[in-house]
Amino acid sequence: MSAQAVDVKARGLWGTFEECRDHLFKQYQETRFDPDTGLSPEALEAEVASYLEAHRDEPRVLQKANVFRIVMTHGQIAIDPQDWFVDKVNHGCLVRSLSCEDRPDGGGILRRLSLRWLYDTMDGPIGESTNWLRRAYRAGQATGPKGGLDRGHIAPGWDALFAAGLTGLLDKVAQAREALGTRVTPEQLAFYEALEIVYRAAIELSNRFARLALKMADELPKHRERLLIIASAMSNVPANPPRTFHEALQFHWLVHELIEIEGEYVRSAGQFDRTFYPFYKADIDAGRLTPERAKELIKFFWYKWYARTQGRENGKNFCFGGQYPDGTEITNELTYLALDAFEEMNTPDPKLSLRFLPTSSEKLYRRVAELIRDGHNSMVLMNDPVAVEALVKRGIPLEDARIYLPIGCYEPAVEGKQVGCTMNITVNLAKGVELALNDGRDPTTGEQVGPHTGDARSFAGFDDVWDAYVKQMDYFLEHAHDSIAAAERAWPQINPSPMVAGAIEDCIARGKDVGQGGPRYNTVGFVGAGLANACDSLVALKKAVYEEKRFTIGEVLEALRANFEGQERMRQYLVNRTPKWGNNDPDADGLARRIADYYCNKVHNFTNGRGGPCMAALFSLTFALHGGERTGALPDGRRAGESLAPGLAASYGRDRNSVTALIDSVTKLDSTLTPNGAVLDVTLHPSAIKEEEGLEGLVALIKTFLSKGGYAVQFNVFDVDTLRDAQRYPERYSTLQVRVTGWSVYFTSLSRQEQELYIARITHGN
Amino acid sequence: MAIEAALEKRSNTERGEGAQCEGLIFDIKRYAVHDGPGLRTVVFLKGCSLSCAWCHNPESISPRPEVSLHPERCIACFTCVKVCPNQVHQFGEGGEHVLERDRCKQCGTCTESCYAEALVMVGKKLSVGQVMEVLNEDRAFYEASGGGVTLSGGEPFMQAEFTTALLQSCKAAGLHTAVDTCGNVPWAVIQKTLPYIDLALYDLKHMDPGEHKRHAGATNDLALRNLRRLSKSGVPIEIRIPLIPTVNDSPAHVEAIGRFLASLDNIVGVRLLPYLRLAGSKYASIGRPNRMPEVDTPTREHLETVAGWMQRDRPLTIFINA
Ligand code: SF4
Ligand code: SF4
Repeated sequence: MSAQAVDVKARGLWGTFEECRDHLFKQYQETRFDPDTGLSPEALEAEVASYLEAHRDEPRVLQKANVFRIVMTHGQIAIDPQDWFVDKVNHGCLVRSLSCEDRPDGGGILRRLSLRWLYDTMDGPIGESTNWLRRAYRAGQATGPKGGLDRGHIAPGWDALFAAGLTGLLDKVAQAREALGTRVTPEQLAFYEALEIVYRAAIELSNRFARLALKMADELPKHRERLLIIASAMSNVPANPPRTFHEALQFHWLVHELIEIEGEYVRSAGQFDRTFYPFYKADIDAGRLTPERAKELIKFFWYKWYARTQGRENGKNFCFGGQYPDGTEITNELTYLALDAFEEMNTPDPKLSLRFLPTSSEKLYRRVAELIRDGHNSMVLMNDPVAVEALVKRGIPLEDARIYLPIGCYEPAVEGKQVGCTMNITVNLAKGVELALNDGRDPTTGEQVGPHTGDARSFAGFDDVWDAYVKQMDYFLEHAHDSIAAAERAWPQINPSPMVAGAIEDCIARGKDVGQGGPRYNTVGFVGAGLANACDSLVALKKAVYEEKRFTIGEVLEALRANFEGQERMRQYLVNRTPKWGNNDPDADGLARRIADYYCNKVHNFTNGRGGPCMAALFSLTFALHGGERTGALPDGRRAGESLAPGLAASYGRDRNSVTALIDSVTKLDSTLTPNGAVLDVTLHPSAIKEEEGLEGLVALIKTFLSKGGYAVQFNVFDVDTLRDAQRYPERYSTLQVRVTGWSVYFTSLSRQEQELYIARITHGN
Repeated sequence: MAIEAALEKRSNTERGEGAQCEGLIFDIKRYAVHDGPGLRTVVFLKGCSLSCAWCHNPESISPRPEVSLHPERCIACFTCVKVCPNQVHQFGEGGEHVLERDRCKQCGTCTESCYAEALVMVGKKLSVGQVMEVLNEDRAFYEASGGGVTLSGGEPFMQAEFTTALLQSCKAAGLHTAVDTCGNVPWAVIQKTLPYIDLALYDLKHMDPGEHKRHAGATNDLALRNLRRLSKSGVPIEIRIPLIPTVNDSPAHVEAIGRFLASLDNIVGVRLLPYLRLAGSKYASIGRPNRMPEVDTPTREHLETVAGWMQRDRPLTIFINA
């Protein structure tokens, strides 16, 4: 039997979530595997090593598939009799986070293999581009994944997976190979063989779970009923289409797990109220399930997303609202049931996003506003028509654009058809100002990182500053693009991904892996961060130096070099007396728009290394902090090392004209130029959303933001006193959640520095 | 701040004859939700005909501009000392900034050159046209929420000409208007604006004339008489009661309020505003002695009890901003 801690108290099948909750939270830390179920991680490791040793010349995609097979068919497994869903395979890393590659266990056996191949490639074939990117990251010009390749923004096509089951995928593989006939290449044959290996291994794994569940049902009479349901489910999914809501959830979670164990990150968990609705509806109609029980299943299912990362990680998004490919609205009773489950669970994971249409009902607005008001901050509200139009503009057909999902935090990708590499690079828009003022030299390190654009003292006017800025940015973006393309071309050597390939159309038909241009849409995201700092700095120079002539450019350069030491009066002037982005100021907003238009259009001129388009975005995530650390003092009065502005918003504490003015500024940008996302973070004081009036006000705020054409918005509700108190008494506030540009965490788990930043943002509504 | 933004605006002269009329404004707050229906922009006019001990906007009381000092922002550049023509600014041995306020002529030289905004001029002259520019910026938000504009203070009717012209402009622009008044002004002034007011927010502090005088600096005769007149005029009225423990929250007094309100027409709601003793730094910044009663903020439970007492005679629509 499994060595799970088994509660001896007899329990019913339903109504157990609350009592299991603590146990579920620790489910991945406390898993104990029965040695009889398979090989220990060490023994598996040895088995894998000897396999790889004996098959040195096998194509990597087959090596990967076979290692996957060994883990799935020989690894230890465990079933938690208190849980509704099974998933535990002992591959050496159960508690996982996105940064697990940096942990000693490397994220498990398969991830360690990919990591080794990545490092080999970075040291070898793509050494030059890797080094160029490394230097750019060091200079604070940008940040990005190791080697410049984002392998981690996957949105599997759940509808297609559910329709076919893995058995159906095996049929598709056979048909595709057949269709290629004699044109099939050895590379394609290896790919197809790899697909067959992984899907068969996955089916075998589910059969192992089914057998174990049956055995445990005999040994644990108190849990027998549930274990029999599990055994029945596991003998059907993921091999075949799910028959019930429970099986659909089980299918989803297990396949998600297998994709992640293989080495990708599933960053969108799908359009919940579309994908699961048919199963939910069928169960309800047939009287097999009640809404209350469905809600309990959702909680068990969702709690895994939280337990997996312990609430410490970026978004894995479930999407709600939005539209079917034909444009009809999705929102249904499952939407509201799931939102209720989310509210009752009150955990930072999973992340939810809401796609609003012009036809969205008052009920949906109010429900979402209530959740925000009550402190469920981890929700991104998307403006569907705008997000769809932005994708269509970049060549995605309308029907496909309509089934986009916000991936990770908020970057759209067409579900099951697009591999977006959405966070391939995050560019520091403010660094260009620094380089333009220093002839391309990074003043912090003294390194010449950009082209020579002239001594700023000789600039005749603001136009010269702007020209130098554009030249610096052009040079950087073009080199960054080349480096990313080189990494993309090495993808098949770094991370063959047969498990995920079947979940993304047209990989099977084309006989190409996800990294080889197999997917229908292959894009690369260029995220622009620090818009406010770039804008405010340029507009401050324009005003204070070239228009008012209050300071000479030489004086400003001196002050920046000295990090405003001894120049506090100048700094205060720059902070308080020059226009700032986010205040509906025509000068600042005009310049921000100019920067955004330049950046997005520049990115959209690139073709990526797999032949697809590049997609611009405007937000910052944690790069606001880390990019800021590597950016010197700026003419907007920001001191060296301080954080850049969060997302699309004004710089910290510089939006002094109310949230409505902030929204006015932000909606002046062309949202259809950011197909890879643009999100405004709005922090509201709780008093501003109190009572019925506050709720109605919030609804109106959301509606106005959307009707003005904003791309996406997320709200935080805070109060400085609460946060100060939380700093003093962290244990009292252990459940206080905050959302830091794109992800929510417990406030008390932030570093002191991050906490202070957060507090600086509490500006509106009091 | 919205008020700074308003100063930058060029008054649009096409807005009609009142557009050039100027008022003394000390704040403009956008995205206000508790000062009338929907999302609103609140314009705070400087100068009040009362001086309540519990006032949480002490900078609203004087009808003249005032220099406010926020020492935590000071960067000790001593520019204020150099530029003030009247030697108002002095720094003591320990670095503390002392203002000889009697000598200040409100010329604005020091506040203009204090880039750190440690010195701020409270009260700026703005024309109706300039204010309208700011009000219009949030039109989309008013429309989505059924909101509009609220004039507050201070006492808006103290600046009768400006308030009337601004209300006229708002109505001409199709904006919903509310005025927050203490009522202690000549009826003729209020009467003139009635066609341009969609909602009156009417403060009620104490039913007893002596107590009212003791705490607010004037008796309640005029305010109560005006409230009776207003309630006959057809303008919907929301009564706003700052609830100050020990001052006006006894059962007998609250019941007296309830009886009085029951005798009025057009009362659409009563809002209980719990006293918050959080304005100490504001008093210090303008050098006004702080007389705020040393009592705690009433709890929600207490406010609910008070709401019960008030409705002994007749049910009222009571809002509690706890
Ligand atoms: S001008 Fe302002 S910052 Fe300078 S000393 Fe005076 S109060 Fe302080
Ligand atoms: S306002 Fe004028 S008179 Fe008053 S303190 Fe400032 S500079 Fe001096």
